[in-house]
Amino acid sequence: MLFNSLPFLVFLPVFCALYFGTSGRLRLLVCLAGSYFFYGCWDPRFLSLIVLSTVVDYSIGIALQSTEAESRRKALLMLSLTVNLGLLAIFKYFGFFVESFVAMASAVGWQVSGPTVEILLPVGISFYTFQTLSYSIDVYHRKIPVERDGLVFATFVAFFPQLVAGPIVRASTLLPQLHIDQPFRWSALVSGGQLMILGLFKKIVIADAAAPIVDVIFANPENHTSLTLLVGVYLYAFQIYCDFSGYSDVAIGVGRILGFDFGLNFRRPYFAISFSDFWTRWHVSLSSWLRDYLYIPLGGNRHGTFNTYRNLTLTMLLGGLWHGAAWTFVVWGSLHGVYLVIQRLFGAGLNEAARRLRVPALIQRVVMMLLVFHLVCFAWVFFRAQSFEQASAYLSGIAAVDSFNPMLLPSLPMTARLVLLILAMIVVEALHERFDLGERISRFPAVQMLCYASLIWGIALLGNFTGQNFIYFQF
Amino acid sequence: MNPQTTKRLIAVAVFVLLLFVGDRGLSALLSRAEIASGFRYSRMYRGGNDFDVLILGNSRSIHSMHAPTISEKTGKRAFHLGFNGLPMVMSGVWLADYLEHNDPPETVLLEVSSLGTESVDAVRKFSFYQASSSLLAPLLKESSAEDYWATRVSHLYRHNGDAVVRCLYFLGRSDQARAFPSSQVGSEAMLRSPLGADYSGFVIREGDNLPALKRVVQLCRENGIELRLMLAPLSPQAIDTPEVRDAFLERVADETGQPVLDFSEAVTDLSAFRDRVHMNKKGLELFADVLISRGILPASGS
Repeated sequence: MLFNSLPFLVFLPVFCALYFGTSGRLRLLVCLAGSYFFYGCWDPRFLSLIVLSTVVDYSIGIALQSTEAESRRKALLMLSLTVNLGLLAIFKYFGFFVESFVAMASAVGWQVSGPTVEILLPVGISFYTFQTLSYSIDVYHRKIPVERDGLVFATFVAFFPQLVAGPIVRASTLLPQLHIDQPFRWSALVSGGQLMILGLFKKIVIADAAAPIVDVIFANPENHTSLTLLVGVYLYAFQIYCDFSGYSDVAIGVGRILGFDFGLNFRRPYFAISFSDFWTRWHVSLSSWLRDYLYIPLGGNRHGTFNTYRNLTLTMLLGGLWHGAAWTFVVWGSLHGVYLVIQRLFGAGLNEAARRLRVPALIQRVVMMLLVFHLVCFAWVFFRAQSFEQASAYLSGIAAVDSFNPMLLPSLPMTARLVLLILAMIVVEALHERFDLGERISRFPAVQMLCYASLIWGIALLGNFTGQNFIYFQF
Repeated sequence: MNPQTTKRLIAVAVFVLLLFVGDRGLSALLSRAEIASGFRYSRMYRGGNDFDVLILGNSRSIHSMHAPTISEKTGKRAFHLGFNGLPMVMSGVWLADYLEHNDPPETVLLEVSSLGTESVDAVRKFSFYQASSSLLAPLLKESSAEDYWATRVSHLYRHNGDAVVRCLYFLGRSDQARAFPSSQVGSEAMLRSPLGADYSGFVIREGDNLPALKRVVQLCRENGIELRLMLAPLSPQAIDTPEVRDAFLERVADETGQPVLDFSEAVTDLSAFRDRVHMNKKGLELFADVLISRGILPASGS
């Protein structure tokens, strides 16, 4: 069931009515049943994986609490890691590992043929396995108490607003909230509803309208001019941003209506002035997860410069692989790792140079923003391309600087409309960078009402209703 | 009911009312702009046209018959009502609506490749003309009930799509001259690659397309219009299944009782094609000459 679909528009009010009409354990049951129903609409077979993950981590949590022996605790943690990462390895990476092995073997002259098993990727597996993993790790480190209530734990794993594409809400955040009967609050309904409208606007009006244009450009980069390819990658940058942040907004909005606080997942990432800044604004729940459960355990910045750079690159590389089982994702992640290392190497020097040259702060900020944005776009080419050949053709096409005739852009009227919408969004986000736009508008209820009505009119008038999937569902 | 609840309910009611009024108001404004446009269908619905030649079909008709070129070469006033990706069902709607609002033309040129085109998207795309056409709403209901009801709930949704953008682009100017501006020539390898037996231009999609064509034939007969069904030129090197094409043409002729003119190999110059199924500017000139030389259209001054 997609957030941008008619069935969800029916599901949500029915769920809310049942949710607020019940309390205590019955409400938790409603939550769990509703979440399983929501997930089962894709493929009920994969519910078994969620149940398996739930049972394993719940049991491991209980077992961790009942023993003080460090070796046994370690063994239990390893079991949780093996089961969760094993599920990921089988369902997400099996084909990738086999293909890579066969390719490497043939490169050294050893002809092997791998099994050709087509494994369907269960929606959201990368998200809920990371969520349950963090629970086991936190219990192991005694950062959080064990959850003894199986119903609460099962709801924590499967809670539908953030089940399939995040945000990855940690156990320390969500479990305590699930223990309380969240009351119905009018203000939560209003602000959650507003966030949902904003998210749907970003998804349906910008991301889904950009999708067909981007698809055409990326499918055959050799057939397009430099300008078209450049526009294609800019559009993709905003497509993926609006798609994923739109999804997060709806998820957080639904959570808010139900009384939950999931935190923020996006904070105007293309206004970042450095790569470390970018990762505190883009998919925050994943980047903080990778920081806490990968970068810091690897040693973080505690063991010298070289090890810090190694840890950064490794963390980003694995972050890339988390997104998809393909070498293009590995390159995307590695590029971001390299960006972070370069920033650490030269960032301070650059700032010092700018200070000595007395470059105005605003100019400095805009230059850094543009630099970061374009390097992020460069990495997006690998993220979006189906292969290295396609990425290479794409980048070569841009570098060719052959034609900058805007009349050769595909679907010119739609592209022009989209560019205008994106520019409008940039202006709104720029204002939001300076002050809390939502708070300012809320001081004038009539203006606020008109703003959200305009977004709904915009969805009806400009939205693409061809039922595009959310990009992050494939991860 | 406590005062706070009353206030909230009033706020919800005001918001819903604002949504409704805005939706209807903005939609009415857009409709006015659209109908004032120089876009072909807006001109048709405004009425008062008396063209001699009416051209119908999908992108193959646009990329083979150019109204200004035909007008110039024949002295007949030609008007193109074709559109990219248009199924035959829509050609039926356009002809019926054209005849309702305008004088009947002498000749209708109809390219039949659109018999293989699906209708859902095309019908939805033009739902912004619902207020001007009695045929569009029932057709939309039949092809996509979900879209039909969406256009009932939100009138703004009727104006959703690239056809509206095109329509507004032609505010204050005609779209006929711009219908085919490209001089692009396709690569030889592409133009020689076979179309294959499953090429959609040689297919009659089951459903409304064939009945729509029969209605077009009927309408033309009733209004004394000379109807010319035709298959426009294709890259001749790409036609690898002439037997499929011939069977298709034979079936269309049998079903309609109307001969279908086969021009699929009438233009042999590869430089007249931008791809295997669409011609370029040069192709338009060449094909207009073919239509005149074969007596389909008169030469200017004759």
